[in-house]
Amino acid sequence: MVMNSMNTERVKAPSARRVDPQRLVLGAVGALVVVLLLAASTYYVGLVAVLGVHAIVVIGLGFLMASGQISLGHAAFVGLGAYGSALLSMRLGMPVLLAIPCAVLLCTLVGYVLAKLTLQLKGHYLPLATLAYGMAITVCFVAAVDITGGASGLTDVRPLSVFGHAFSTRATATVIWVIVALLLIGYARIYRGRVGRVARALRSNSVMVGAFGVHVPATRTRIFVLSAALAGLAGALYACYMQFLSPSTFSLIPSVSFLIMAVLGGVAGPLGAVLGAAFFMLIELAAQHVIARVLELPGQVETMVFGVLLITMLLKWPDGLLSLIPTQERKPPLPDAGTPAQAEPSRRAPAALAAHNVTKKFGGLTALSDVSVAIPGGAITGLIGPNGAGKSTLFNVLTHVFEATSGSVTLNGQPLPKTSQDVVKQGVARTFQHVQLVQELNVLQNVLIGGYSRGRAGLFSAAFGLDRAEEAALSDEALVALKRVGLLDVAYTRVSDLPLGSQRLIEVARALLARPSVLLLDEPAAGLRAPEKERLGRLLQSLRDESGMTILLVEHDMELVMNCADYIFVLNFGMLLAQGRPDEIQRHPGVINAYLGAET
Amino acid sequence: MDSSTAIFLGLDGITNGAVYALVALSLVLVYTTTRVVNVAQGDFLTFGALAFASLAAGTLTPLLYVVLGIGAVCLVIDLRRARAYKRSLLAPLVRYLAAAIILCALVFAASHSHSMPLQMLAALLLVAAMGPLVYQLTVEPNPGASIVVLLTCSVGVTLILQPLGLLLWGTESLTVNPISDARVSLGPADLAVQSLLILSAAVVMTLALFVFFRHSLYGKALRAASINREGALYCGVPVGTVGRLSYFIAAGMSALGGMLLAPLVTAHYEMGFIVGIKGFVGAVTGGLVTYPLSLVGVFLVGIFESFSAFFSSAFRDAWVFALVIPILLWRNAYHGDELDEH
Amino acid sequence: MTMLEVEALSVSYGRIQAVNGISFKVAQGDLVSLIGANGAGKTTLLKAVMGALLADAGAVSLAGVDLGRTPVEERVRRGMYLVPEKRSLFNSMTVQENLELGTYANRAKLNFAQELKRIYALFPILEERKAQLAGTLSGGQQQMVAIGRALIARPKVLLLDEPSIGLAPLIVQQIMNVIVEHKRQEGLTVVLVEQNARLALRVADRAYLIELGRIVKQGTGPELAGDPQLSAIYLGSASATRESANASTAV
Repeated sequence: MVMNSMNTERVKAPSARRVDPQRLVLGAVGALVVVLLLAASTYYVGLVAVLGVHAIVVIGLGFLMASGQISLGHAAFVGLGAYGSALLSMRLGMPVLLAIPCAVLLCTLVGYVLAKLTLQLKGHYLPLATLAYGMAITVCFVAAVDITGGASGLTDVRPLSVFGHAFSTRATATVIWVIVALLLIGYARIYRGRVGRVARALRSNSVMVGAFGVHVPATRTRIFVLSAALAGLAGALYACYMQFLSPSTFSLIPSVSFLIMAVLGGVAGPLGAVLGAAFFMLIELAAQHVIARVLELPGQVETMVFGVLLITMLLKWPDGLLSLIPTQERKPPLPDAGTPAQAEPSRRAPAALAAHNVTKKFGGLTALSDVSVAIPGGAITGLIGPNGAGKSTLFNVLTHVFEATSGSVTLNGQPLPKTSQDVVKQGVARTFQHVQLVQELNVLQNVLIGGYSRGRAGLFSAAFGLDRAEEAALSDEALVALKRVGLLDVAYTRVSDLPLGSQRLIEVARALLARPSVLLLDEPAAGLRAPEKERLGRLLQSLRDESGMTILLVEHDMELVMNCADYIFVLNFGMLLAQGRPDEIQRHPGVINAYLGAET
Repeated sequence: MDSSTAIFLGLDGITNGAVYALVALSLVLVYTTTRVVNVAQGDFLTFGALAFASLAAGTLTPLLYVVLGIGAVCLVIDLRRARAYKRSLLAPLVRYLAAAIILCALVFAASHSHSMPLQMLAALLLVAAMGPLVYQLTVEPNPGASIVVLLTCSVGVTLILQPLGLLLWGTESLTVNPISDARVSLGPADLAVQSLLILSAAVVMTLALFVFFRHSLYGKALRAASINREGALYCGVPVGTVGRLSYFIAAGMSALGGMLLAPLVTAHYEMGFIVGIKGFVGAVTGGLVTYPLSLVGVFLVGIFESFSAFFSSAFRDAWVFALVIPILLWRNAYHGDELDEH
Repeated sequence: MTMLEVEALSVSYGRIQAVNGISFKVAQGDLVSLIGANGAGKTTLLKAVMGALLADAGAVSLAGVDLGRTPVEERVRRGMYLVPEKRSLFNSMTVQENLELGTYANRAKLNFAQELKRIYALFPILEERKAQLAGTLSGGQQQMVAIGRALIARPKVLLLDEPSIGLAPLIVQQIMNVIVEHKRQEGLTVVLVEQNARLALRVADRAYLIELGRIVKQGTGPELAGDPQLSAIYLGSASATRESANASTAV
């Protein structure tokens, strides 16, 4: 359903640059590859083929790293794909065109199992685990001599063939690069799409995306398995091309090389993979020719050069070569200022959120004790209390980040769903005490994350371009939300360039995209100046008045709460101390003693 | 398998495990004070062994020139920083020159004498000196980086150090004399005194490190610098030099491990890698944060290795690596909240 | 006697001039408040005074001695302590260990057991929780640890960066009372940076309003508190009338 009303006038955005520099680079690389494939000698065709294989691996690895994970054992998946496809076609007589997908399937399965085992590991444990299984698998390649030919290698691997006609090396290399091209298109779409946005958020804001309906472990697993499958595909293609396999090609050093390529190129987009792989290969060649032949230094120096390169890149340009090439993203023109603010269904039925006799214990500590609050629908409610009173705990119980030890939470009389993913689908959205915006994305993309639970496009839908309608609709809605909070003109700005007050408003816009009937705000005034607080208060009041939204405000800041709340609950020591209208609370002696002190 | 074989394998395992201990302890030391998972730690073990072998053979190890060269680069960096902060240029100059002179004198003397303690000392200090240099060049520019970035940097370091070993010493193995040739009977097992020396060194160092970091203010300050750099800075902890000191001690410990191990397996350029990986597994058992558990971990690795070698040898290493995963899962489940999510 | 003097200090963050020629003096035993909005340059100023940031121009003197480019650890040793905005506690260490680390710089000169008792007397709740990990404490208790960690070393100058952030008014009052009392008894010199102007002006002997890296107004606490222009900008326009009405009856 297209959200923008028929009478918007689209203003054509002035284009500052005619051509996107990244597209230029992509075109140049593409042209070079085509020329080499068609005209160059076998030596160069070989280089191009291997480059293509590397690019396939690093495209998957790069996206994995963009989502905050790392793999120090990815060459093992390449090896599984290579040996798998080779052995299936050689030992079982499977046609190569069938063996390749089977090998990819094998890698997908192994990747899935390993992911399930290890993705729960936190911090630096995960890279260590990838290192461990990467090396274990490599050792198996060498040790299973009967199957894989061991250290001396597997010869006479069958090449790609169709109807009995074997592909030449040139043809195989072309096939490899056709796949690279398809992957570049697919991944560019994935990065821009629904899952790609939250993938970048997984790196640093995993709690936030959970609150908007992202199932974090499942998403991480999917991204990992996809990268393992791609690595397997690369391996299978490599096997067809080289027709010879040696375990050392899939050991720790190549795994580290892939990592270096990803770091070198940058993981902000799939083009980085091609750049990184190409740059890596250029340096390898330069090292071989210059270091070995011209300077006549031993080959080890080449490895040392890579070490220096890796460290330098990490320290100076951690975002890789890609970050050095400016990009002009496609920016759909912003709707005219005359667009009516209302493009969403107006007044919803007021939703009432209530906690009934909620008790929450953390081990021996009782954070909440038999707390019952009924948050009136269609009004702004404040939740205040001294530090340690249990406000955050109650907030998290209401959004099902925590499960109450006893008691229940209901939404409109129905029990609240069990997980935060389901909670947001029921129309309960929240903001965060410490602003949780994704730095790598611009304002609009951040807001779009709020609509995750309402979308359905996954990695494959995005890759095949099937998500266009959904994305367009969501985009329009996001622009409307930004207009609502008054930030439409900064839609394409980087979030880090905006002051804290604006960032908090972006969080509200993001929450609006979940089409909530209940909006929960966690200390939104912290760090705001008075004019910004007033703006926020007015926004909340307009949301209540125009959309009938139920709003709960957890706050320390008396100014904001007293000025805009209709009703206030006061917690102290995990229990409900008082409730009432703001002026009643301000006069309540118990509250004054416990909390306000000598101030008004 | 009868009980005496089992005991034999067990003891063999423990003594083998002890070899990995010094590297494991170094890994924990570096991690708890700088948050770096130092994949290159095994290289210091290799260099310790090979430098010692060179000196024992009467040659002036070429490592000295490498250290002096890199030292010069680091000196320039320190001088530039001192000038930017308008502090005394003399202080760093004097420090570096003094260190250079001491190292040269020691190495020279060691290569010309037959005193094994002197040779060990010279090799130890030479390799230990590499520690702060590596830290200064790879971690100091960005000490607040994420753990994954720091880990990847250390991968870069090992990419440099391993081939360097090959360049400096070639592919042949060098023989090194043990401190003692004697053997001792312990029940059904016949152990080399050298192995027992390694074992005692491992236990002593574990205790020393544990006490130092838990109970001394200085040790706590070193830990604090990696827990919260800003907080430590405002307590007056010299966060800049903490990392260098840790790397110095860690490199020295690993070098010592290499020197003690070399007589048993001969010194060659790849020895550090495998020992490093196994020490890693042991350290990971302690989550990379506790010394005593790391010691237990390396013993477990050693025992596991002995028993699985007894049963099947080709896949032995695969099992050892794969062992890491259940250990990590176990630690994650019970101690996952200790991990910082920088 | 002037304990701390800042002369024409300028500090830039990349291309942004965060602090632009700020000068002020603090007499021994005084509490000076620096107020201003988010992003005014107050935290940058404190860090430059502490030596954690390099100033482009200007000088900082402690007890008459120009600090030049002395490193942070040296300034700490001479008695200047900063309690940062984020508190920067050692979360995986116990309360007592955190306090112990506060004595690091001058460990030779201090009797830890004695000083620890003094801090526990100021903040009794910390003694109850001395073996608890600092990361598990509530916000207010963490702030107490952070301040205790600074006070334990008997500092000459205490720099406080927004101690009230995220804390309930009552806790903030308690903490400020401790500081003010301590200042009175020990002759401690305090520089308080605060966004909460009301609080900061109430306890100040002298106050400076900072906007975009410059001092735009200065005076005693009550003087600034009663200025309606100040109220409008920083305390919210709705409170402006209330504040100027209260000014004559200021606490």
